[in-house]
Amino acid sequence: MLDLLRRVDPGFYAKEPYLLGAGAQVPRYSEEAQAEARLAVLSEDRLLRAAIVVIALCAYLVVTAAGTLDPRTEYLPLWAFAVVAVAMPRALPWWPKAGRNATWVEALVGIALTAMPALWTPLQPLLGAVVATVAITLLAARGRGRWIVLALAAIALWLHLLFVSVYAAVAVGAAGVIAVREVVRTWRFCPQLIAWATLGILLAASAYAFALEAAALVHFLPLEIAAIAVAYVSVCVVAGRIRRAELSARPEGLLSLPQSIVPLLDRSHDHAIICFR
Amino acid sequence: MALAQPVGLAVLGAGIGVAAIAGALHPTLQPLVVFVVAFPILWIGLATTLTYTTARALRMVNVDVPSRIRALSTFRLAFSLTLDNHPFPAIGVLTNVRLAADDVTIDEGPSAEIAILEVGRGATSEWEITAKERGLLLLGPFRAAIELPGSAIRVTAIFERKFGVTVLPAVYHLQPFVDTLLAGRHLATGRFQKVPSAIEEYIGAREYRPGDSPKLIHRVLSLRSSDPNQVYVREFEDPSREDLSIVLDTAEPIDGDVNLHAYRLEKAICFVSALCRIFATRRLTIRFVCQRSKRDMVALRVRPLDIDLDRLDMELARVALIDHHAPVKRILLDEVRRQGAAVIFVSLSSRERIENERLPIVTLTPDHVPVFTREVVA
Repeated sequence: MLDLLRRVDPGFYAKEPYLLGAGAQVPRYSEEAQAEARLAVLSEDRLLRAAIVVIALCAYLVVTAAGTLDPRTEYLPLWAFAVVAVAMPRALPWWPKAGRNATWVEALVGIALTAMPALWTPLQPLLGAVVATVAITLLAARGRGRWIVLALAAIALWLHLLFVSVYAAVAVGAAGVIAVREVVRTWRFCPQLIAWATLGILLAASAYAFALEAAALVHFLPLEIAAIAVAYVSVCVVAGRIRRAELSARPEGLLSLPQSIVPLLDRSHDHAIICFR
Repeated sequence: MALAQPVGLAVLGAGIGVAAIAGALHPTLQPLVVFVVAFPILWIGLATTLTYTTARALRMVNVDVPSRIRALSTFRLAFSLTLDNHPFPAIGVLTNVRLAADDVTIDEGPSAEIAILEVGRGATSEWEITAKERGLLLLGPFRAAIELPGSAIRVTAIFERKFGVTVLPAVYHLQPFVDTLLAGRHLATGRFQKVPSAIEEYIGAREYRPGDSPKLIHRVLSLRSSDPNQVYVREFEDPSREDLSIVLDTAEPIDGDVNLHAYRLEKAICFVSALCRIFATRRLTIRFVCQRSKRDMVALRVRPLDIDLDRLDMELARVALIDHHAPVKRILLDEVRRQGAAVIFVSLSSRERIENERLPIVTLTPDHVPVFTREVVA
């Protein structure tokens, strides 16, 4: 027995709970890590990207009456909507990193969008100027420049509204700032907000067009209804894809709580209950 | 039921309101305005209704859970759901369960997803659970949450049934030299007698093992067996005799950290369980004694039978610290007065008490336990 006692570390019992880290909770995954995993799934989703591009293009068709706004008076909204429709999707955080030729492609898409009405309406020299401006702006939309360009487009739209109605512009501006702030702050943890925000943006853009471009819109009602229907269906696709990402990025997690009592020689964890999925 | 995304709903509501007001000023745009406003409302309405009705149609079919497990071992929990009387399948059902041990609770365990649950069919969510704390582990209520894309609400079906799992002490693997505890005190190598003496009683029959005396073969039971090579032998034991008394100290020491004593008790319980098992496999009959509360003493006769060892573990699963010292002292004296059995006292105190030193017992302090313990058998 004496021989056995010599082998004993007298402080073993006092030390072991601390050696095992008993009482300390070890987080196995965080909300932030889960958001990153979700973002990775979203960034690999081609269908999601295609749906967002379709929404942007359809929205452009609706709010500009298929691009037929008069470039002599409505050059500002025409330019702003074209820039937003082309540059906005690529600014979204799950969009893959832009390649070397991305801005050229965007510029060409912008040219095609704004020059499209020339196919069925008489050619106007001012439309050419708008097309050129859109192309130059989109070429400048690289890195942080993209955000500056988008901010300029939003300000241009707001100024256009300001000249028509000061009260409406102030109200829309304040509501827009609050909404964007809330969505930007929380979307990582509630990704379905993106679908709701997309619907909200579509409706706000439509309201803008109803208020300011009603005369132009009335000529292409069936086309606009078709375009908004396609945009809405694409929003449903976006919501579905985000839901899919939410589910598939859910970590095969471990959830546990600390315990103060750890049986001898258990050096695996310091938790009372461990639950894996 | 909870609102799915309050911020998102607010953004959408504002959008619908602004679009409706802007469109109302231009009657020529009426078809476009109606479509722009009506589509989101219809979509949200449909998704919300479907979410609600789907959650109402979910039924719990079965929960697969063991009634008892060992601490530190892992078991599989399976929760099966079905969908009754609903026109559409349930999509993206997230299930989770509440887990509660003695002093810890996980209100919402990790969610397991059922991607699609078709009408009339079942689907199962599974978890792997490791309980490390001895005692009772409660599983339930189970929850299944549904939120279809576009739904304004998230509906959770709660199934209130609860299931209890007894978490038995962890099994320690002891060093082979644990026999030294009985050196000079009792015959530690097991029973040598192969035939019953006059005083022994018949306790049951078991399968023949090499080394059993042919005189003990139970002829009737062996002939009844479907397998002609299967032979049963009768078992006898002396009801008046125990080979070994193991006394577990459950008294909270007067000074020191309560958590440390609780920790020591956990180890002592696992050690006692392992000690009883190892001596039982050597065909010793053990008397296990401990004080469960001031007036409740547990005294178990542990024969080398699985049923006795299981009963011992069930008792050990419920043992807790008591704040009275007198009963433990009395138990020790009683055990020493019993004739013929060696007494092992598994103490929670760091030092052997002076009054115990005079008694013919082996006292194992917390410092001794690691010496005899090799590893935990999960």
